[in-house]
Amino acid sequence: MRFIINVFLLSLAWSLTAYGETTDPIKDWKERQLWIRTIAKSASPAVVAVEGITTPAWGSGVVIDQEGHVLTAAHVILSAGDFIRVHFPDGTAVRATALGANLSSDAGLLKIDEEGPWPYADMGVSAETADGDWVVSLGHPGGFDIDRRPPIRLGRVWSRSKGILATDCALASGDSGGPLFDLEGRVIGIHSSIGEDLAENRHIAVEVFKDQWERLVAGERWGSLSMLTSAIDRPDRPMLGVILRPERGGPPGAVLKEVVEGAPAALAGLKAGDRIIAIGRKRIADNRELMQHVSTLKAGGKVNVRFIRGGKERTLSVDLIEAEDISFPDTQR
Amino acid sequence: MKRLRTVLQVAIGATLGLLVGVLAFKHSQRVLDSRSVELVARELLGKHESSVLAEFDDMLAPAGEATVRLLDGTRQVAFGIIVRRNGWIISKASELPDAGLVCRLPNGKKLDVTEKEIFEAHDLALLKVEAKNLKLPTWRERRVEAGTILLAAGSGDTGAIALGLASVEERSMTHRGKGFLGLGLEPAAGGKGVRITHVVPGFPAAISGLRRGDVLLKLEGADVGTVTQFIDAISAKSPGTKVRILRRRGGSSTTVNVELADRFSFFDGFSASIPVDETQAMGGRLSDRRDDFPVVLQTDLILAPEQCGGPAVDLNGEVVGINIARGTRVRSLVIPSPVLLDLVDDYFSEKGGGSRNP
Repeated sequence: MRFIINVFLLSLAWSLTAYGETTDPIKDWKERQLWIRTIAKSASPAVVAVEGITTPAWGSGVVIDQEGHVLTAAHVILSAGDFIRVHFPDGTAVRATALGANLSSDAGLLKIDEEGPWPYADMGVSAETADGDWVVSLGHPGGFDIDRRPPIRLGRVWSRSKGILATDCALASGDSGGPLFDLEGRVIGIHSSIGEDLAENRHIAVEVFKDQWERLVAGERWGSLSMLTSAIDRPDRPMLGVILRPERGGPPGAVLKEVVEGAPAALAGLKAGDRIIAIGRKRIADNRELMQHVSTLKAGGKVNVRFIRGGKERTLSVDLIEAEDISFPDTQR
Repeated sequence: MKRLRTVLQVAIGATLGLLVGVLAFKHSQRVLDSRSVELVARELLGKHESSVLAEFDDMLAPAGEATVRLLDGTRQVAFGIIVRRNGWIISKASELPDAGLVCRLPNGKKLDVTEKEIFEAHDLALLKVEAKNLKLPTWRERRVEAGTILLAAGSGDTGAIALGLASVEERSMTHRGKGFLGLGLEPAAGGKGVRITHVVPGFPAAISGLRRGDVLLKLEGADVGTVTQFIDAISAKSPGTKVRILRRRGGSSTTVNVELADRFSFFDGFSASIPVDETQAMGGRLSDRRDDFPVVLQTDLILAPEQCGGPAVDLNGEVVGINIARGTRVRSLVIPSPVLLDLVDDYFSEKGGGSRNP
């Protein structure tokens, strides 16, 4: 079970230098493919599924040393409770103990109870990553499945700020806490949250763990889990205070799954089940359009929201307020 | 907006700071907020940015020549891959209309589909059009390992529709042959046993009188373990097997005998209605038939349902298989070429017509 990823990657790096400079884009892609296949083979044994046993919940994590320290997301630790088991892709399942968690940045640490050595991946430096760099993500979407290795996915970094990396490596429920790798197979981020858009996937920069390592190992818990990461990104982002129902096909518009109690949409009279079809003069085709359009408006103003309820079209005037003034129920994975 | 896009295309490769400058200039009428910058960054620095996809144009040309569009009226319902030069095409069956299907060849010529043969288990359809000397793709018959870079090709010179990876090596994703009770479960309070949260009407658990709130303690005389362990133990048994379950209701415990159903019977025909976890459906439409395939390769190629049926291509330009379904936010499925070719070859050898390359 033990393996040393550094040695493998080092020898690969050596053989790759022989390629030298290339101008053929396909040749460059074949080089990237070599790295990615190596990660799929050598790093995936260290990508674990994190199972909450008392409270059923699935997340992911990555082992980063022989002793069995596992980086994960703070919200995975919170939802999993005290009784935690980690599953390695080969089916090995062992008990683990939750150590510290920084709830504000969503960074959490587990330690496998049993003595190692455990397969692990090295931590890298996310600051060395540039916007547009290619990365891969691993994790256990949908929970542990003995029939498959953790699926590997490709993407690029499109934003880096305040300890958060954003990529278009698509993530889903169960991936939370799983690793984002640079193409040299080093962990540069930990999966934290997603948006409606496929390109909206956020990862906690690995530096957050490194900088607070002592506190995490000591089992400290601090900060508060802001339930909407986009609000961490930009606290003054305008919002209506609604939660949309994920929908495929269907008539145009965005259907409200919930209205947040006390927030403008609820105060104005919008209700769960309403289908928003226009904001001001802008027609809304789907959830994504609604989110994108609202985000271009200014908090503090009013908008006319046109919607369908019980087959009838209606319009209500709704205030837009800043994201940080809304307390959402738990929408994080 | 078109002009803005052109400006942005030119600016690709520049720093984001510069882009913001270009945008701010174009948007001088309007205050540019950081959110819009974010949207621009997502588009320009994303894996599907046009200059990235253009790198594969030459490589994908041969596969594009062997790919057709399938239309219901003027609306595209799927792609298809040419498998015989004399007008046989393979595609995704469940996306195709029962009548009036039209095939648009890479050269733009539109032809009526005259025959349709369905391979239900794989959701594949073999289609016939009146044509000669069509171009065939180069098939990859070697195993595809995880981490292999894949492109979804379009028809003709469309180029790449999506870029991604083989996420998981080929496996069976069928529910057939697995034991099934029809229960929703959670760990029981106190940590011993599993508690029933839902009972599916008409399925074995319901028929045997198990109810919501019952706690299951033992399976075949042994502790049930966790929810996952219990489900795994049931799935591992064959449909038709009778199992003994020790059930606690209120203060008393009784043994219940249950005959397992086939898990497939639950999923059969209901693929579109299988409850998907919300995050799995976020970010785009999914195929109606997206589960229960005998052999598939899992990829992260982002496709619309009507973009299925075309080829997934490796970096050598070889077709590794057919894009058979958009499964979840993180998963699309490909039926590997060897499986595809075996099906087609078997069909024609039974029919008594032609070899693979007539």
